[in-house]
Amino acid sequence: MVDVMDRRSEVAGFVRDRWGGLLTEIGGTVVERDEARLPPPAGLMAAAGSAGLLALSLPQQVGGENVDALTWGMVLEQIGYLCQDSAFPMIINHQIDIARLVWESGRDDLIERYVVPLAQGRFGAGIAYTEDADAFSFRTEVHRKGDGFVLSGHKPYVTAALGSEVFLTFALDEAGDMVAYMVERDDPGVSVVAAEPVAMRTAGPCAITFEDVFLPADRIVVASDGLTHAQRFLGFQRLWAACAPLGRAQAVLEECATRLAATVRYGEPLAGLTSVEASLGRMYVAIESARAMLYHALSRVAQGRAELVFDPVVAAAKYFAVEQVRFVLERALAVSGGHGFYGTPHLGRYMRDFSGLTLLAGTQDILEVNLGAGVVARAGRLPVTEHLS
Amino acid sequence: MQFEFNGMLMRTVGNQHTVAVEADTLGDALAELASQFPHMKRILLDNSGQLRQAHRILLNGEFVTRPGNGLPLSAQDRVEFFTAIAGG
Repeated sequence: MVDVMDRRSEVAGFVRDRWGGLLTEIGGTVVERDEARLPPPAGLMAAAGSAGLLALSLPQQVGGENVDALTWGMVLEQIGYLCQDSAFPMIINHQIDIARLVWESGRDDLIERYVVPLAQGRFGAGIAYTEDADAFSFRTEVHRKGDGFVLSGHKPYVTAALGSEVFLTFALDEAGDMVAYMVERDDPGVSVVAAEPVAMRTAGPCAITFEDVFLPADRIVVASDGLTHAQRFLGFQRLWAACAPLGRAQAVLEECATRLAATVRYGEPLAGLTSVEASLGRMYVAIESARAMLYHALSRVAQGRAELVFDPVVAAAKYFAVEQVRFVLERALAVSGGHGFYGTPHLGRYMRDFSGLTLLAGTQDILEVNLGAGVVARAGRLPVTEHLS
Repeated sequence: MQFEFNGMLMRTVGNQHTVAVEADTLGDALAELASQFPHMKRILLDNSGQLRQAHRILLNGEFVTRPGNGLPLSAQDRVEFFTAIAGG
């Protein structure tokens, strides 16, 4: 049995060898792109595809290497470590999971048209799910018309839409059930406008409006219970979303320690002050404990033991890792002083970008509620007794 | 049989913790529940009348994996929902 940390070292080596240069190049322009709200250039996304990064976790039938969830999580951790663009891992995870869900449809036509090009990085994809509404009150709707359907509605936030040619779009049908379609950017009636979020500005998010968009029947990916389908997507994202930030937190800790060792105050390196050492120690504990929790959840998924829609261990791992990553960034700012505040363009951006992790794929608050409800549901039942005062 | 509710689903049945219906199967019980509380239909059922997989059920305190509409129920049975929807 391979020790998990040996495996991590192996993965770190092959990520550096296969994609290290590309990841550095993508991160090299992130400050300017963050200012301009631009995703990585299309040429670099295509390079990620042709270098096999997008296909790595996909099935071999579409050119992938079918690596398991633990390996993919470790790859993401290393991407986060090597790439200064917080949004890049999120963009590729959306594309990969969209490809995976379409692959699971088993439809050759959809696989040929969408999954293969996505795996090769020939075009991008976004998931058009989020609305300013609960899942049972969506206002994006489809109605049957002739041999196809007509789609109308608005999605205010679609990650990576700026660089995407196709959108996996969720809408309510005439019976009130959620269904999912592949909608193409150049379908008549589709309009895409850049969104202006406070963070993750290099993810290329957009609002999309659908005005009487005609969709042929063969664009249906999910004909019923799309809610469960979407929850599965979010369940994957919940896990992947925390892996790359963990790698970035590791890089921040190392950069912090290097800088503090070279920064002298009152005649001695800052890294030698006991209070600074204690902070670095707490940051180390946060990273190691978050990694242990994430690897536990990734292993559970890799072994096929995770629950389909809402896995409590995956949710707990995301919840915990996000809190630890944010703690590391807060501590980094505290020990870096003015340098962290005005001397580097990166730390503040990471803090801004990773604040969004508390909302992604279920807010931390709703995860607490769901996890607690699960604990109650699984608890043993004692006879209910009424207490008289 | 008796449905027991809490959280979001309890609000959909007028804040009642329990609702009793007469039915011999889960499918019939869900259909009767949806007829009493029409908004419940789109929350619980997909467009083929099956319970959405986003809702798990507990039958007399035990999780049931992939319950079908044919799941038999008796008058004493108690069905609870565990709904864990997040993100949107």
